[in-house]
Amino acid sequence: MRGASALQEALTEKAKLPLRVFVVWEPVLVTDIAPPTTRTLGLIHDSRAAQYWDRERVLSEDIVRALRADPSRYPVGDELEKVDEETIVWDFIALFPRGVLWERDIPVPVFHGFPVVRSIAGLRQGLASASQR
Amino acid sequence: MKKQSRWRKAALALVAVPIVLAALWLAWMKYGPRRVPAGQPDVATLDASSLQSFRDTFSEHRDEDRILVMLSPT
Repeated sequence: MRGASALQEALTEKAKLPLRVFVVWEPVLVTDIAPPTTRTLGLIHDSRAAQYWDRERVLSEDIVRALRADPSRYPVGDELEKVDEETIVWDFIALFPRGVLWERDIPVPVFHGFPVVRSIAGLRQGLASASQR
Repeated sequence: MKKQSRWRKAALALVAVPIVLAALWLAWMKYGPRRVPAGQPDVATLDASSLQSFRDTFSEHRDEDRILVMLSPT
């Protein structure tokens, strides 16, 4: 929840930046018995955002599949050693530059981090570079 | 006998009322209406059948930088 609020703050700072935000909510904790409530959805209120409910965690599975299929493509370093079929990608944020397409595998981000709340400084740097382009 | 029956009813109510309330709360949590903030599209469900459409939507916005964030709702 703190991650969502921190992201919204960063988005507010860059209100004019042409940007699209894909917010994917997925059940991970035992308390995640239902889709996000109106209150939770309201944590990210930026109009550039679109929100998704991924009950079966298909996106997480797809990212893990891509990472394991072609590890050299992604700048994950030592983190990759910890990635196996049981890995759940969550509390995760990534920034993708203009121009990249998502075909079969997730494209390579210019920045990624987790947990989200501790990755906002890196995201801000990435957004600052984006606004200078 | 009458007194015992009254106690039994009270005990039953004490047990049943919280269970009914919990069931109603759970149903509300699971199936209650959700509203997204103004200006956003409705919440979309992501599953195996819509994953490619999600990728396509991501690619359609190629003229913008894009952020992907994956979170747990609680």
